[in-house]
Amino acid sequence: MNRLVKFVARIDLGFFLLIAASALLCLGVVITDFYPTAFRKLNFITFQDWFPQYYMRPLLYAWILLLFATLFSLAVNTLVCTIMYVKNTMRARISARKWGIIMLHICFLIFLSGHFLYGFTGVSEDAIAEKGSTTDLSGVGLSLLPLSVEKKVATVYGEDIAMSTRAEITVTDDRGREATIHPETFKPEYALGYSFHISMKDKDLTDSQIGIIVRRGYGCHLFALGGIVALIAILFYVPSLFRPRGV
Amino acid sequence: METDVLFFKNWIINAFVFYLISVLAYSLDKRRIGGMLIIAGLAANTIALIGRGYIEGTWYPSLMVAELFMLPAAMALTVVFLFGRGKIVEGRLALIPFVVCCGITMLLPIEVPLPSAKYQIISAVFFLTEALSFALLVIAGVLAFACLVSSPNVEVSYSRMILWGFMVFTLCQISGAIWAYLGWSYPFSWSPRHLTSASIWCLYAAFIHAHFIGVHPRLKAVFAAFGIVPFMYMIYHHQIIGLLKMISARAT
Repeated sequence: MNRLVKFVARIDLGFFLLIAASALLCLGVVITDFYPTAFRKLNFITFQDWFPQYYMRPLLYAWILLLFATLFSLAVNTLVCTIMYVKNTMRARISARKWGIIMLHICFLIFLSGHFLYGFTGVSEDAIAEKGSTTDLSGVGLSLLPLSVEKKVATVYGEDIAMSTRAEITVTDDRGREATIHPETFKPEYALGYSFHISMKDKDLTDSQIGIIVRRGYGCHLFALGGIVALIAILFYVPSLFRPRGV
Repeated sequence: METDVLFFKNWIINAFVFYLISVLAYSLDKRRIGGMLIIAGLAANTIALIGRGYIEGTWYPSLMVAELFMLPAAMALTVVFLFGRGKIVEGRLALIPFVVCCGITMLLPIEVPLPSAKYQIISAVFFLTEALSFALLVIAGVLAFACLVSSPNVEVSYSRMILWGFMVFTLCQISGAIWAYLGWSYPFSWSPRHLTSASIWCLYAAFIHAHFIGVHPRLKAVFAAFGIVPFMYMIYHHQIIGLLKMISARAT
């Protein structure tokens, strides 16, 4: 057991896993070009729903499984390595730089967990809703009733350009709970465990229609936490970069 | 519209002229003149970018830094910083990617983008950090290549630049994730663009870890120099794909 922990905690293992992850992600750019639709679908359905639908694409399937395995191994390596590093550095006074390093690794773990959680639990549905009429989103178990739609348009060089859309919407879930939200382009609102985003794809919509994306992604909370930890880590780490010494 | 495009075009050309003369001056070891000219170029570049965001009496700050016209300014800033810190060899080597970047930018169609809902303050942060990380990491790659070929004494400089570049690139990823979440509802999208940036992030993270496992300095330099390839692809992928399509159309 001890030998296994020692093996998993090796920095060189982390180094090679990072290279493997980088190479796989790079390879993904080429592979996914062959299956753009199947690949894009990953943004809208969970992995457990995606796998049975697209198992007939062996190259894409093998690539994503390999990527999962590599990233999972990297997460385990980072976790064990960070624990060992904290254990070793706790014996002496920890400098701001070391805090920065520890937090950067923690935020990497948080981001990876966010991705996994998002990939396995996140659901999303987009629809076009019309003012005054109810739109059912069966995939997420909600119905939307837009009460008002306001569109801000800027006229630039004689051309009307949609700058933002704001709507007042009553949302009802399948348990009968109701909430009124006011989402705007780039200002999503949260209600009944979902986030509501106004879509920017509105070229063919009338003035009373809105494109709306409804999403439930618990991983987002982890992303937000990871972002905050990363910013703090960078603040801790950056002063050490001004000191004249090597890497 | 013509006036706005003309204003932008004139100032961006002025900036490139200043940049090119400054490169000449640096090459002739006239560092003071080179420094003054590159700063003049930076000023002209900034005026061009401000003009780019000012459309029909309204100022759209995020339009200033959108797309690729910010890159030469970020490169110039890095060159000024290197010479300012007395890193003469590094500064001179940095002139190579700087000239290449200016050359590529000159070939781009000079047009003023229309404002759009997607250009927000957070997108400006994203484009700014992307340009700065590009400048730092590409210049570091060139220094690493020089380290391999003839100047082993620049190793510390390129390693530090990669550390800085990595930090700025991490900020770029975070701001990009916030921008994508607010606008498109997901912080990471399964798309070639996001895969490329994740791949680059992993590559440089591996480079930073290479120091702790005693990787040979030459191998590290190969690593850092190789990093330029995916980075260039990420920044110029539209242009590269356009060029490939043009070549393939001509061939058929």
